[in-house]
Amino acid sequence: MAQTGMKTQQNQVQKVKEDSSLKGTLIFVMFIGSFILVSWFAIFYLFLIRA
Amino acid sequence: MKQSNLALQDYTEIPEVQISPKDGKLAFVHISVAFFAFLLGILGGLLQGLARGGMIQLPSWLGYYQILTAHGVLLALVFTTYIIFGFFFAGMSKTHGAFSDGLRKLAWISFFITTIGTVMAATMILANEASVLYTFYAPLQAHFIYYIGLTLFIVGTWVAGATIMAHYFKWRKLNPGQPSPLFGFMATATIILWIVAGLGVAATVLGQMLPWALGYTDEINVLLSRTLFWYFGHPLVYFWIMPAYMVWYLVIPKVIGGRLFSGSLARLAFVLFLLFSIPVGFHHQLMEAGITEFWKYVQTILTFVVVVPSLLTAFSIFATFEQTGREKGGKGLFSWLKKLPWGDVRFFAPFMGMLIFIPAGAGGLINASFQLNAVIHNTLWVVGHFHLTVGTTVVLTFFGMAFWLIPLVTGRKLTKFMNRSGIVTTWLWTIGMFFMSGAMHILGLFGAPRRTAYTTYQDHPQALSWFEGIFASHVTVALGGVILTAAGLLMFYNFVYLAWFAPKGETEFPITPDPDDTPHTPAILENWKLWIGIAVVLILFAYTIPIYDMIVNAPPGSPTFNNLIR
Amino acid sequence: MHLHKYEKIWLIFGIGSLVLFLAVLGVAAFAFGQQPPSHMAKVDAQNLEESVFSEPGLDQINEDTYRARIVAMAFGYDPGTIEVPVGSTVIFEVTSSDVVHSFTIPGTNVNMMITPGHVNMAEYTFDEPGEYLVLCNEYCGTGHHYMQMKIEVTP
Repeated sequence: MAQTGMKTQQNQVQKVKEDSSLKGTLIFVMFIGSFILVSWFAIFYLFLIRA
Repeated sequence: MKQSNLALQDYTEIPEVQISPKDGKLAFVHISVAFFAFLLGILGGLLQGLARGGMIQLPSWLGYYQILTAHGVLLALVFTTYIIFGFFFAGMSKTHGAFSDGLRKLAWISFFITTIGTVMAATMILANEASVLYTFYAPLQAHFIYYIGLTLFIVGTWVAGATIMAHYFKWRKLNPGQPSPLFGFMATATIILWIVAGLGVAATVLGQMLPWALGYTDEINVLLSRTLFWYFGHPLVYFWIMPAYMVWYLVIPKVIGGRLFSGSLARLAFVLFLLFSIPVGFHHQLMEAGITEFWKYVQTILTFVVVVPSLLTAFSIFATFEQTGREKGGKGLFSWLKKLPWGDVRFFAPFMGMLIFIPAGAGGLINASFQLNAVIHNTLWVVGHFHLTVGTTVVLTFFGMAFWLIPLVTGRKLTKFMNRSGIVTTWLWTIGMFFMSGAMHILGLFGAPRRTAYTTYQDHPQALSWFEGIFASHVTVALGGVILTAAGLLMFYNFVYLAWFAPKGETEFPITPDPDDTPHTPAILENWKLWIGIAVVLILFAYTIPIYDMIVNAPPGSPTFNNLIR
Repeated sequence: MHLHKYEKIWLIFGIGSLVLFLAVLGVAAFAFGQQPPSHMAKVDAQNLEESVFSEPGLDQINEDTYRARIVAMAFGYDPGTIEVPVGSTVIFEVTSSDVVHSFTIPGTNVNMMITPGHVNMAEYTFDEPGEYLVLCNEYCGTGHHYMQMKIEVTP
């Protein structure tokens, strides 16, 4: 697997545009950010109702 | 910056050689100690889970808190430290050339110092003379040999760190004006952090606990010792996570057939860790008297700053995945994900670790959030949290690493069968942790305490409810623990097979080609004196006034309490 | 150092969230008084009988406010039970006569460390009647899991 993975990589590597798209990355990190916001405010709410 | 990962132009001066067999042996011995400690540590964890769930009763000669101490010391300190130095010695040899005979000798000396310390501490735990947990809070008192053992352990790692730094700075001297190899840069940042942080624990152990345990002083300043411990305790978690990040930044891009997205950003992240992961210890002491709200809040802010390098890392790593996937012909918003080598344990295990780091990081932010800490402080939530961070993110990353590092240093090959076994291990670990850590988090929100043996608090309904939930129950924790133990035993088998039984052959040390921006690395990033200087200033800012206050306005100190732990 | 456009967006969003969290916490703490327990009073843990903790227990301050002075020790609290009518606000002042403990009422925000030599404080209003469990969530020795007390809130 490891070795074959590298061979296929050499075969498959093609020229790509310089500014390759990172849209998937943006969506992924935004998902992380939203997850953090939601969980943080959930615990903050718990703190407030217990105060 | 160019963002192509094409491996066509090759700036790299790193020759594709195996590491020197002598350095390989050094790394292998470290990794072996790590996995034997791991085996004992997880068996301790199993007993704890079952005992606390009320499913078994421990024999009278074995204490719950004794096993808890062993579990923490063996896994959080011994396993992590040894496997990290195994990785560092191998990686430095690969990227900076073989160690000189002198330095290698020094590394062996460090190994023996650390190991003698480990054996001393472990003996005291076995003798039930040190059931003070791995945080050893005063004024509970362990046998003085336990403190000497811990001191030797820390000093040994300093010597090992000095070896690695000497090797790194030698390279820099021979290659003036060039950006240093990323591996050495990141290892050096980690080790500087470790040494600066270790000063705190050395100060409390040598200056406070040892004289007190030996009877030279009658009293100990409890708050000061806790503060010095946590000055060390939080950077300790970065000492675990930074080597895992090194695998993500440097190894994974090569495993997936690409190239790291940006070297400068990787260096910047590690500089930020060095600067901001030390002056933050108060976020472990938010619920405690004797430290003002103001200084707690200051350190809360600094804690939040140290989140930034992890934000950078999340982007860099995923961008590396996306670029590589697209260069391999992946299209669409997410369908390039299919181009990643999901069947390769060297990628898959660390990847699961990365995924788990999302809830782990969110939980960490909550823990450090000043007054919000009251909701979860010292509850099982915290235990659930660090079983995600160090217990899954770091551990799964090191598992993935073990599948190439062990055969590399033993002159063997990763077989298809082993790869599959590794994937199974990863799934089992993830599933077990989902049950165990998930239940711990929820139980913690209901108030269930951490570090507490089986108890129903005289059948108080609230305490009984912690055994009765469908998911949120000590029984679920124990079930998860059983699955984790199975995964851990399988991993130990993987280790034994890769170390002594796999077929002989050559194994690649996967390390990313230099990122495209390497020639443009800002020189300031390599200015260690500057970064150490700023780190010291930040530490002095965050700690001088509160520590001065703790010493000058200290209440009468505490005598020894060594009868409570037996 | 070059930052990708999306990375800038992500960092602004991420750092913005961190600033928001800190602002919310700071306002709640410094404007509305929801501070973490950080009392600065000190006592001699070996001579508590010569301090305000010589007779631990409940004092009524006014109609519905009480002060509970409690000593935590291995492995229990003194007093072991206190009783207040529902709707009472209790100010807990707690210290330790030996090692580090905690004073924790599960399901509430009362969760503070009790270090010897220091007094820690928390306040809670009991709006529901019932028997509240207090436990120690900092390891304090072989009997740590037996350490508890009760707060009876009578209707």
